[in-house]
Parts: sequence; C-alpha cells; structure tokens
Amino acid sequence: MKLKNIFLLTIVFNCSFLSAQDYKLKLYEKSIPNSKANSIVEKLETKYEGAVSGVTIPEISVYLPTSKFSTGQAVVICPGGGYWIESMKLEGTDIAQYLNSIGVAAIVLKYRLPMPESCIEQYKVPLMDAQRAVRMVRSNAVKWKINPNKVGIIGFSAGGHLAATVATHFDEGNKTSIDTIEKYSSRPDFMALIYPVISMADSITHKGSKRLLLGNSASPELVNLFSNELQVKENTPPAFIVHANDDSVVPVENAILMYEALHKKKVPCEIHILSKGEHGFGLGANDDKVNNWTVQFRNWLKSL
Amino acid sequence: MIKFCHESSPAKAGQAICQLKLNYKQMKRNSILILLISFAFSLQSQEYKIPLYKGEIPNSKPSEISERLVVGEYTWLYDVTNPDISVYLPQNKYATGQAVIICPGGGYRLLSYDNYVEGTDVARFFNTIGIAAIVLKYRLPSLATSIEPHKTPLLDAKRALRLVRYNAKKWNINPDKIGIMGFSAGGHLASTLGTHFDNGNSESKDSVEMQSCKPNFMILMYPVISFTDSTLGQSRTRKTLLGDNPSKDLLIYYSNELQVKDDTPPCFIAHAQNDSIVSVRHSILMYEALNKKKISSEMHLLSEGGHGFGLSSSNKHIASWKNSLELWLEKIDNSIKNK
Repeated sequence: MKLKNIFLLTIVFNCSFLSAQDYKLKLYEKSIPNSKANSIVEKLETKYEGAVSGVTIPEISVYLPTSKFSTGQAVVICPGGGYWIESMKLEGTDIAQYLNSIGVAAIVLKYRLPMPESCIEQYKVPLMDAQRAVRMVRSNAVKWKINPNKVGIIGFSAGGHLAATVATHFDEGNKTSIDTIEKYSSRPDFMALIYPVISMADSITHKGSKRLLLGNSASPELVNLFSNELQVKENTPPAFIVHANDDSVVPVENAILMYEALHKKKVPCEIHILSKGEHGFGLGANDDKVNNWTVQFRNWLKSL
Repeated sequence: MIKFCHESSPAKAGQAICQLKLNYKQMKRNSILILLISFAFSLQSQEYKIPLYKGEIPNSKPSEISERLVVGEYTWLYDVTNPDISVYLPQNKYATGQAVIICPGGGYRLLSYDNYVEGTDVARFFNTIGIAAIVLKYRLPSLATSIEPHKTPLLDAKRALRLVRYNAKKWNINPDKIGIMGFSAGGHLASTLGTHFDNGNSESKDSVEMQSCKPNFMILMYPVISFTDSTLGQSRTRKTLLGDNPSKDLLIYYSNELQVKDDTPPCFIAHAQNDSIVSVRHSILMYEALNKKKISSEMHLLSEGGHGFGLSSSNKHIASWKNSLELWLEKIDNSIKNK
C-alpha cells in the first residue's frame, strides 16, 4: 500500500533525524503565546542549505556532550537569516556539533519568525521564544548535567541581534507562575555575537531584519528598544564578538558599537575583527583564517 | 661601521660541538667547554647588529649622557644615543620573505628591552615562522640629546625601514614585504611611521636614504594612537614626546588616527580590554580611521591581558594573538603575491 509506505518512510526519517540530537522539545506545551491562527506552513528554503522559512511552532534541539568531558557550560544557539529564514545547519547544528566537541552542551533554537500573519505583536515574538529557551535550559540543568549558572547564548547575523536582545532585555523569572519553566531567570551568563546585527538605526542596520522585526513604520522608541547598543547595562553579561572587516551585508560598525557600549559599562568583552571573511561564514571550516574564531571562542569560554 | 657580525654560523657551532663530543671520553673537562660554547652561541643568536647611521647622527646634539641598561624584574634601557638594529634571520629554506621591524615600548622614556616581552623573544617567534625580525633600538625624545626631540624616534624608525629595504637582497627579504610592529609607545612609533612615510630621497648620496620608508604592513600591540581624542586623558607619553605645551598642529600631527590616508598600509591590532595604562580606545580609534579609508585591517581586543602582555606564553588565551597574527601575515603574504 502506498499510504503505508509513506507512513513507514516518515517513521524511518524521523528516527534517523532524532538520533542526531538527544532531545527535541517544543518551547510551549499548550498554547503558543502571542500567536494567532494562520495558514503558514514551515518549509525548507532549498536555495539556502538547511534553512527554513515560515516557522510558527518554536522548538529546541538539545545536543549534549559526552558527560565525562563536559565543562558544564551550555549555549543556546540562535541561527540567522534576516528574520525571514533560519539557517538551521550552517548556524545551527554545525555549531552544536562543534560545541559538543569541546565539551559544551548546545541547544539549537528554532524561534518563531516575526510574521504579522501569525503573531499578535511580531517584534516581541523572537525575543519571547529565546527567553523561554534560556529558562528551559536552566530548568533542565540537572537532567542535562549543565551548570545553571553557565548558560550562554550565541547568535549569528539576525540571530546575533536576537542573542544581544536577550542579553540586554532579561528578567529574573516569575516566581509566582504556575509554569515551573517561567520561574527561571532568562539572563544568559554570557553571549557570543557572530557577525551580528546590533543596531536598528537606519545608518548601519540590516534593513531587511529591521523591516521584518519592527515593521515599516516603527516608532523611535521601538527602534531604540531594539538597538541593543543603547540597552547595555552594568549587569549585561560578558560578550564575545566576531565580525569580518569586509562584511557587505551587516556593517562591522554594528560589532564596534556593541563593543564600545559594553566597554563603557565595564562589561568584560572580547572582539575579533577579521580582515576577511565576508558575511555568513558560520564555522568557516575550510578556511584556517576564519575558523580560528572557534579557537578564540574556546579560549574565551575557558577564561570565564 | 661597527659590525658584530658573527663569522661562525650556528651550523659551524654545531660541528664544533660534535667534534668536541668525539673527544668526550678522553677528557671529561671538555664537557664544560661544550656547555660554555653552546651557551655563548645561544646568547649570540642575532646575526647582525648594525648602527642606524654611519657618520653623524641626525637631530642629535653633543652630551655627556650615555646609555644605561637597568636589569631588574624587567630590563630597561635609558638614554639611547646610539640607535641600532639587531637582525634575526630565519633559516633560508623556510623563509617567507617577510620581515618585521620591532619597536619596543616604554612610554618614550625608556625602551622595554626584555628578552621575553617585546624584543628578542618576539624576534625569535617570527624566525620560527619563517619571518625575518629586526629589533630597533631607537633614540628617545630627550631634550638633552636631541635638537628637536619629537622628531627623533620617527627619524630612527624611518631610517631602520630604509636600512632593511636596502639590505633586503643580502638578508633574503622581499623589499615589498617589510612591516613594522610596535608595543605601547612603540606602537605609537610604528603607527606614526605607517602614516608619515616618504618614498626616499632619490638624489641623496647615501644609498640607504634613497629607499622608501613605507612599511608594507603595521602590527600595533596595545598601542598609543591619539593625543587629541576627548575621551582619553592627557597621557604621560604625550608629555614625553611633545613637551608640556605642544601646539595643536603638533598634537594633530602625532594623533595617528587623524593621519590615516588612502595609502596607509594594512594593519593588525591587538589590545586587552583591561589595559589600565593605554586605553583600548586608542586601538578602536585607529581601527575606525582605517575602516573609513577602506584599509584592510584586523583587530583583536582580548578580554584579559592588561598592559604589556608581550608574548604571554603562559596564558593560552592571551597568547592566542600570535596565532591570529600568524594567520593574518599569511593572508597579507598571499595578497601581495596576487598583485
């Protein structure tokens, strides 16, 4: 029977996919907050390897290192894609595998994309999901053999904007919530921003990311709220930033502005500006000069 | 010209040691000799030490002052009056053709002449990756020994670059791959050369002076850059170089972020965020100026390291700047090849 075959295939496919990570969890068990009924279907964007569009159901994929060699650190990974797609391989699972190889737990976040058709207040949606992911990691710390005080966040490009937003807009959790996950703090213990969008100021922002996140006519207040260089406080967590000097998509000024804002508030910070690398290099696995950022990152993680 | 050039090459020393080893069974005393000889050679690993100027030293005036080397926790050199370069060459077989002139730091008051921080050990590091290294002993801007003090370090750095370029063939160096590196105030000097070079004087009788003093790249380690930026307080370095009441023109002239031009060479910068002596702002200002002129540059601002970390071999995190530099130099090398 044809139908039966498809069913079987689906099972086999799911099993093989499941074996890659230890857990795949939906961010919200019941209703998804700040969402509305829609007919959007999530799909692979074949033009960009491993990228998905139309994400309306957020989830995390958990990759744990061999416990014997675990550092206790965990990192929530926010893939980029200009807030219209999410580069789940280059800036997701590839990064998770690297982190596992150095004893760090990795949680790939598939956040909802800010689409007016599926969101009530679209600009709040990616942030809500990323905050939820940080809380979930903390709530599972014992089970996953993670130190709840060593939960960081890493983001690439627009995912870097999201990571920086989480790190500058956190809360301590809601102690009175009936949902245990919501009781946990959403403050990341450290952040890594890889060729990030930081500012929503027209002069240097990535225009596509801004338009999709904030809409076409964002108020100055909203622009400032999501210009993360303006949101840095004394208790913003330590940061590690990488950007290429020749990035033609997201200007390197984004990274510099963030560094300066952090430095001004005396937040420990490290930045590596590569003379070449362009935008979207991920691990840069085939180029020693770019790939060296992963070595720097490991050194920095150890210094925390 | 004084020349401390060592006639025996390290290979010959090795042979001598082998010969002595053959006699070892006969005479136990020889082992002491072997030790002494190998120690002597380890002390003399530089291949040339050359004074910068053959005759009269420009912009100098007669004085009773003479050079003082103070060896304590750190090794400091004061009152330099006879500038020179120490040349360390890599094995020919593995040489990339690149050369780096190293300007030690010391706030323009002294030279940090430590083997392991900013001088000879850095030179040896370059040699291990096939790059020639030249440690510059530059004169300090002293009123007692200079006619116009602020001009003196730059004069010496320019001369060093010309001298290396002039000797390029002899030293197996590509004359288009000569960079300048500086630490702290030496970083100010290196960036001053990178922004104030000339093409040489083609009518000079001195063939060294005919050479261009443009560095092909700059390496700035926790450098002093600006004397004018409002976010930086008045530094002691500024006072030492320019005196108590420098003119605005002079301050601008030596604020190297204001002197970056389209033909300023590519630059590598490393600095620690927790540097309490030279603010990391200096590096950011320089990077921004280079970026504005679209000059290829690379910057690593480490979260730890403080001021004067040098090679910092004991801390892997801080020492990682060496790997970054090595990769960057390789990239610069390729881009020169492709031209």
